[in-house]
Amino acid sequence: MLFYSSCYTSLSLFALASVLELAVFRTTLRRNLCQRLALYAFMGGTVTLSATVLLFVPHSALLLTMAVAWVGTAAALFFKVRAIIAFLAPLATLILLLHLLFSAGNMPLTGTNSAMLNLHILLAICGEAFAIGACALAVLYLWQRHILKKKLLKWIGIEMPALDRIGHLLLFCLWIGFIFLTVALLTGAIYSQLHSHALADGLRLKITWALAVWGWYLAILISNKMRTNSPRRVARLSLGGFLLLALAFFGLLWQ
Amino acid sequence: MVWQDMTVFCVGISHKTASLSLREQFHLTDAKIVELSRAVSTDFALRELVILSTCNRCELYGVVAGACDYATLFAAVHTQLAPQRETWRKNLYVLTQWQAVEHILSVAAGIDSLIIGETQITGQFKRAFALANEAQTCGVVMTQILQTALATAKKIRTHTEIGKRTVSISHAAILLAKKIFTNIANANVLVVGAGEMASITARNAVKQGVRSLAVVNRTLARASALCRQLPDNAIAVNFADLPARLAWAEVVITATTRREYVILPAHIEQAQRQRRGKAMALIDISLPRNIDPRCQKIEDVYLFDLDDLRQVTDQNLQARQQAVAQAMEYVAQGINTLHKSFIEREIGMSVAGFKNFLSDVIKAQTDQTLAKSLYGTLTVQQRDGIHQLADIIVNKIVGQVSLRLKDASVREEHVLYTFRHLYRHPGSS
Repeated sequence: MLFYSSCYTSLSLFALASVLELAVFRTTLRRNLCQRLALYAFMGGTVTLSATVLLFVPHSALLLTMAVAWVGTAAALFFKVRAIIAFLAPLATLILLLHLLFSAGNMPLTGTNSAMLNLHILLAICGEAFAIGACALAVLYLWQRHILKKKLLKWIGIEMPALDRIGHLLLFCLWIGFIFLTVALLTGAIYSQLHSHALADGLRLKITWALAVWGWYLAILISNKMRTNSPRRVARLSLGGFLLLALAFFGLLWQ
Repeated sequence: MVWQDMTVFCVGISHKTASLSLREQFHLTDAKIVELSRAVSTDFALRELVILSTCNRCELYGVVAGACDYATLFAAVHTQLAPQRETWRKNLYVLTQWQAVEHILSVAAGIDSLIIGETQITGQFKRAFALANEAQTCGVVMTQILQTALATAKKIRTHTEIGKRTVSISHAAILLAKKIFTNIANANVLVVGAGEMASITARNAVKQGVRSLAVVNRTLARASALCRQLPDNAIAVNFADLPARLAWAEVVITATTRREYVILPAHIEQAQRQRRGKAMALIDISLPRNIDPRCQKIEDVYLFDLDDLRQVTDQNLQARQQAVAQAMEYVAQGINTLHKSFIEREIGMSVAGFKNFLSDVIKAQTDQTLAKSLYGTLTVQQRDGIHQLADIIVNKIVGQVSLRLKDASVREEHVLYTFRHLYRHPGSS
């Protein structure tokens, strides 16, 4: 009972943050106030969800929502990219709602008897959370670029971070996500070597997808280093990479 | 009701009622304001007078006991325009009592300004206050009103959007650059032109913290002259070196009078190749334009012209106008505060008057009684004791009355005046 009331509290807070972010786009006055309240609601949702996950279902798929929420909170608090909440709050609401509707939230991801496997899952989830964060930043970057290029200056009053800040944070997220994903793949590989029975047929597809995503991110990062520094290309490629990752994620959940 | 024995007034002309050509004739220098304030206060028996003279308005705020011909008063301040009084009389407005106070509070907060929310007016208000003090024509009432006006203006600027958004073109240029570069201080800014607009924009960029600035001009001497007015790290660059300099700059601002494009897509493409695709903001504030609009199509290049900047400033102006209603709530709060303080002051004066009245009556009665032969045997100490007792009784009565009067007057102002009438307060009818 307490588990569900906590879940619904965080769901309500994420939904409230989404509504407030929507209000930011609709109002010209008190935009700052709406954005600040949205941030507080989002942070409240993050804290409530974290407490719920850690107390009741530490091995559930809700971990991903929690990780995404923390990435959003960190981006808003430490990098002053509060607009990221506009993308992550509805996403967190949707994922949480899906979990609650289909009761997937309180179900363990896979067998959790091995520390190695637990580490692998945790790292993979962190990698995915940063990838989702990168996707939100990519959307934010392309949106801000569109405003400036197409001179849609009526949106300029909205507290959007500068393009270069979003670009830097996007690359930062990609690097961190890539590192997590790399270590997750390594730990997964070691685990499957130690427990050969774990490499069931169903897992092969997931591994293929995970490797494809890893390769995709590697390609983005290398191309950014080798060729001219174009955050727009990075943003577009990140969106594509995220779609791949989403497919891998849903495959993991509903296989 | 508060000011029964006096009138607080505001008389003047402003951008709302008079053209610039007429307004400029009403402008007064500081020395003239001090001189005229003294003279006019005496001639018109004004209790208090403050003169505010700016490029957008000339207003007289004051306090007068009894009637006053405000148009004549205004003409007395502008003696040179007095003969044509009939021509400008229609431009004159007169506000009295709380309407005048509301106007003063609105003016101080920039609500009544030509550019809503401009901050210059607050400084001009403080100056007018200082000049009135220098002329010794600012008394208790105007001091309280002006102080409340300044405090209200501060509140409005802090809590509303009225002054938060820029409405100047040069500020809007920097605002747009800040949407591309987080830390404008680290950006290299290249200003093309050395005229007035270029100079204003360059100074504004420096104010925003830009550390590295170069000025390009066809006449190098003019560019150097502008750089001398800017911090040490500003450098003057020859016009021929402009294409090469573009690769160095993150923000390029053009403000020249040339009738052709000085920056072409080929220049920017070449610069971008050297910059390895780093973002670049091009801001063209010249008319006719100096940057080829095709530059906007180049990847990671953001071009804004005067129309774009005006779009930003108009939008901000609109937001300021929307904030006026919110600002007027603060003005109403300011008026309430003033009203309360004036009521308290009036209560204080009434109570003091009542105390004097009561003391006089009791003293006269006591003296008359003690003069009778029946009390001739009383010693001096005994007589003093009776006088002290009378004083104690007066203080007790006044204390009780004061508390009840405060309570009743805050709710119903007429109680105060009925009370004054009962004991014939000086000045009450």
